[in-house]
Amino acid sequence: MTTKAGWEFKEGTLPDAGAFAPASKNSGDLQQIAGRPTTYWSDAIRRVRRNKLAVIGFWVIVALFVIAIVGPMLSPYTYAEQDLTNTYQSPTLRHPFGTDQLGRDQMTRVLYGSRISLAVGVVCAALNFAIGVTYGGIAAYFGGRVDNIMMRIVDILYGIPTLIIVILLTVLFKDRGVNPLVNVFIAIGLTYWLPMARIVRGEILSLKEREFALAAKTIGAPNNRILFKHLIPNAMGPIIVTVTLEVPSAIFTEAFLSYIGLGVSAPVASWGVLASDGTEAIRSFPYLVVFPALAISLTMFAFNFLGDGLRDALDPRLRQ
Amino acid sequence: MRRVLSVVLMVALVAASLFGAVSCSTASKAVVQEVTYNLGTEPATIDPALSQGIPEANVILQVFDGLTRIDKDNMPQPAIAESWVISDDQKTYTFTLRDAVWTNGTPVTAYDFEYAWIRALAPETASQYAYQLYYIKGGEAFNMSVKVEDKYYVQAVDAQGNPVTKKQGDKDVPVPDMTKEIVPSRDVAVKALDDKTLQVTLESPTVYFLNLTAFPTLMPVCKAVVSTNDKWAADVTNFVTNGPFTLTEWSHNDKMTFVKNSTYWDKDSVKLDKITYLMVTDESTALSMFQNGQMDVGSTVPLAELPKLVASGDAKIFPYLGTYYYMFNVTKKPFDDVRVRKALTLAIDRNAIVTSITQGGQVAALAYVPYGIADATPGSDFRRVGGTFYKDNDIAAAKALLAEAGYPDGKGFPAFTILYNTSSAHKSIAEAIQQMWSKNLGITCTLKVEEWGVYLDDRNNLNYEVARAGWIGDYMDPNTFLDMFVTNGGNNGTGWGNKAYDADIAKAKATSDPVARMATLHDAEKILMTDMPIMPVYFYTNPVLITKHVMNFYQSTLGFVDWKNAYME
Amino acid sequence: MLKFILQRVLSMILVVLIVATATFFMMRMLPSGPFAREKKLPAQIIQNLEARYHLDDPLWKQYIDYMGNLVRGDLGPSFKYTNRTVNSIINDGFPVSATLGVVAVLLSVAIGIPLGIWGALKQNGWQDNFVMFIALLGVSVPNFIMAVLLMLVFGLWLHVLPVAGWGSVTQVILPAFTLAGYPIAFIARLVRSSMIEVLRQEYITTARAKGISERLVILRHALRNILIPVVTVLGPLIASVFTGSFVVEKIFAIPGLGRYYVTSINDRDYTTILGVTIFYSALLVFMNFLVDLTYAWLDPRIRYVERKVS
Repeated sequence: MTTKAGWEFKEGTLPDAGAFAPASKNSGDLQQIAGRPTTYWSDAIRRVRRNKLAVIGFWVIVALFVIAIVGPMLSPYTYAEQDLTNTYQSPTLRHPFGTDQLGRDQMTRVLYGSRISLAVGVVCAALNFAIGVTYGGIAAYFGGRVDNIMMRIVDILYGIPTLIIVILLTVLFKDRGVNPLVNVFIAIGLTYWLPMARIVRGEILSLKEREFALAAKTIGAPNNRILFKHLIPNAMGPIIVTVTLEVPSAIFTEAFLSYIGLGVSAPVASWGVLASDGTEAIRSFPYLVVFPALAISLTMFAFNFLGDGLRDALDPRLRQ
Repeated sequence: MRRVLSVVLMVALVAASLFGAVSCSTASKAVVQEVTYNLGTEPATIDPALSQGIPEANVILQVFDGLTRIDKDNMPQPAIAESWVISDDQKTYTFTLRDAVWTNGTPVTAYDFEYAWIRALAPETASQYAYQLYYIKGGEAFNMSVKVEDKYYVQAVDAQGNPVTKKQGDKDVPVPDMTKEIVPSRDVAVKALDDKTLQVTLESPTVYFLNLTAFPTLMPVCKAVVSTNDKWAADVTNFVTNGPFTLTEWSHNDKMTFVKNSTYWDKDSVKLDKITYLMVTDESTALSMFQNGQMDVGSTVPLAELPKLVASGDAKIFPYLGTYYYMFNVTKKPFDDVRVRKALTLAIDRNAIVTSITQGGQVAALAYVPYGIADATPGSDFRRVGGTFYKDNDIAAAKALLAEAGYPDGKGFPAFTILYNTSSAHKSIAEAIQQMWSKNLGITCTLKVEEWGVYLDDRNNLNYEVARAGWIGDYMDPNTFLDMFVTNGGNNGTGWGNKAYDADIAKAKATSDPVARMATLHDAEKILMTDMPIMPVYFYTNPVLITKHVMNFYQSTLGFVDWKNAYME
Repeated sequence: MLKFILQRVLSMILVVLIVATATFFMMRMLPSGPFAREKKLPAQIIQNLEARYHLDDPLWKQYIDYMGNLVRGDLGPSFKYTNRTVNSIINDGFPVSATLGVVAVLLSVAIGIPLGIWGALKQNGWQDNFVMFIALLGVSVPNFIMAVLLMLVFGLWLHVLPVAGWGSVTQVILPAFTLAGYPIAFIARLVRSSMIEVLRQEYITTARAKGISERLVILRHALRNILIPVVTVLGPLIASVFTGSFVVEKIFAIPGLGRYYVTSINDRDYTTILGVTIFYSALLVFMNFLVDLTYAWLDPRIRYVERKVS
């Protein structure tokens, strides 16, 4: 379940070397480019709405959330209700996704699982975004010794086996009565922002030497303004690619965590848990893995379409 | 993804087939006496004294021959020992050895056995199965002794009988009692009288001692080699053995190769020329390799595929001496009340669990000691003699007991947790039991999974309410299941204790009359099943993937495989 | 630059030492020890075992002894695999994992980059959507499902490749593709994304305006720029893929190093946990160092030494 390659390899950065930032129409007034947040965002939304795929992605995500909230209530079964005389039923009208090894309705379980998996996917992507972008941005912007120390800390966190950290967390959280999902958020928030930090840092290292950043510095713009208003918006491309790709990783990481004992306990099952449990029966009962896997893929596609639309909309260089 | 993959793969394949590299090993089934077996994991060692469990045993038993060897009826038969005489008090065994040789050409002598057993007991060897030699007089004391330079001493005890330790730096070291030296050759009662005669004296009569002489830890080792080379079992080059097969290759985590030992004393009954062990851990992969003809016998079967494979004849279910049970922490409320424990025990449907979930021919456990252990009279079975102690799925009785305990229809029953370790089978069973208790008794509980080490730690520290557990016997006697539940026993794990029970177990140990001894053990089990610190769920079975070409495959009820008499057809 | 390299090498050694120290003490905080069994061993036997492996020494002494041996390159004996040293475990497993890793990395680069460029050149065309589709499929199907699918389809049903095992060339194909699935997708997405941006830059327009052929524009001007993200990806990828993947090695029964990252922790095999962790983190910091050097080579504006005036 622990996919070392799967988690740790989420690296990537796009320093646009050689690309001069298009110093928009009126290059004497660089300070003002990011200076009008309202226009910037309303402009961005307008541009997202013009992107057909992004709109589809957006509505699919909305639909997924509505289904996650309403779906389990509409089902005639519950996620836990077993029928040991009806195990491993192929999909029928009564059980559109079939039944599992305990005769539970797989569709209800997938519907219910979407609550956990969507929450995990969205919150963890947001956490990675917030921690990773800030950390990587600061390291690269200040550079030199700050960069060396901060990135060596990242290397250290990379090096310590995640499994040990996670097992220690299960011990730490034991009998604390904390919401199990919060435990998952903490575990993922602690260890999974590292690739994002490296990506942003690589990007900013290159961007901060560009003319527009140097110019902003010359006219005395404060550091946090340069970093968050000029540099990070220019790095949105790789950031969004990474964030959207981290949604499915977070969903599968949650499944791994729940095997160790972090997260929601059985009989509640997330998509990740359903998919990996289903894999064990893949030869004879492939439908058990197909439906949760499809649900994860659908979410993945929706987030990516929306992400691509957002990327185009937020990239200052593409603004007209 | 797959479309691109298949294109790329096709190209790769065409290239590969041009070089003739594609291998499909389904051809030539013309009774080549070779077999491929999936051991399932890398053995931790091939040194008999250091064996840790079944994977090691399944290597050691092919390459070593002990005093006895277990036959297909699970009875010990003469092996290196040609014959033996048991004294009237059933404590002294005198074995006469046959002419046999090590793979380096030297004869197997009684001195090799004496050396091997003393070595396994020596504290510095740190053998994990040393307790299988505690039956020998002086064995336990030697294993527990303190080594000072080259000599062993009994650990000193204070006036209360507690062992004495002292601080050395930051560390507590046992203090030796310098007046009580243990000389293994004098104080451990295993003695080579001459090359061909081995005499063993036991602490107390032990009816299953002959079975134990076939256990991996009690295998002889070649004294001349092992005493001079502590790396003798590091690889195959210096690995001197005396069994039906010799180990010729050990590629770690990949495979082992055995070939027939041409110097084995009973080589005429060995038919296989070559055995290959694979170490495929993934059950689904092992099944694919089996179906692809890459292995003939596999030690694991994926749960979901089991019924189909049994029906098609590709899997066979072997008996396994073990019980799957739930334990109650009797030190916590409400599980300190025997009525609660009984109510919970009665309120589950074991038949549904074995027929719908485990599906491997397991038997619903209505008692603790499993089937397959001989009782006092020949041909009888301990379980059949002892009978059952309760009915399966006896909801009415369960409800009555629960009401009597003060929780009518489960009202007011405190919330509790079922603890299990990571495994989808444990999870399914826990989910089913959770629902049965909820439906039948109106009791709600939550499930909690833990990583293996965390789970063991919580279990051992009584940091749980209800937990799953399993026990596989070490030898063919009810004692291997019963003596663990003595008060404060290392494997008790429930906090339960009962003086009458302890007395029974102690009495059984000292009794040499088989009928009286078995009666005492039946009595002990009855006490256990009256107090119910544990809730038996089912008796294990051991499913194996096996092609119909393999004949005489033997897997003991302890899970040990022996290829000596197997052949291909 | 020399000062930078020297500084980095020192800080890399420090990183590995800190990882070793943190792992040492954290793993000792894990519940249960190497000799915990479902069938508990008698107390005396555990004491004998602890004495044999010096686990009865005070923790600080065990730490100092371990670090002393580490400096000499001795990673100690495995607690689980008696008669084996951690050095021999790494010596046996690493070449296998690295062989598989080389193939997987080559596949990722050889498939990921062209796919990404193709998608960018035909932006929003069906080719682009196709690339996007493949990339997303590669990411949303986790490797434990991918591995089983490939095995069933190509091994069991089509009979074109061996199901599992190690030793022949054909046995490399399925695990290598499983390992490469995520990186191919990720590289393709990144290359597409940065290629689209690069193609909009003035210098590309200028180059095109000069009448340079499209192929030359891509090869000479654009490629160098999209190589930077690929290199960033490759650093940690190589470190993690070369030291093996638990899932892939388990499912395809490959005798590599990857499985020890998980089994050693489950077994509480302390020396093996430390050995493989140190080995991996040393490789990782070295690869990240190479990545930073390559940045500077690909984009000369990137500087690591602090400037005097800022």
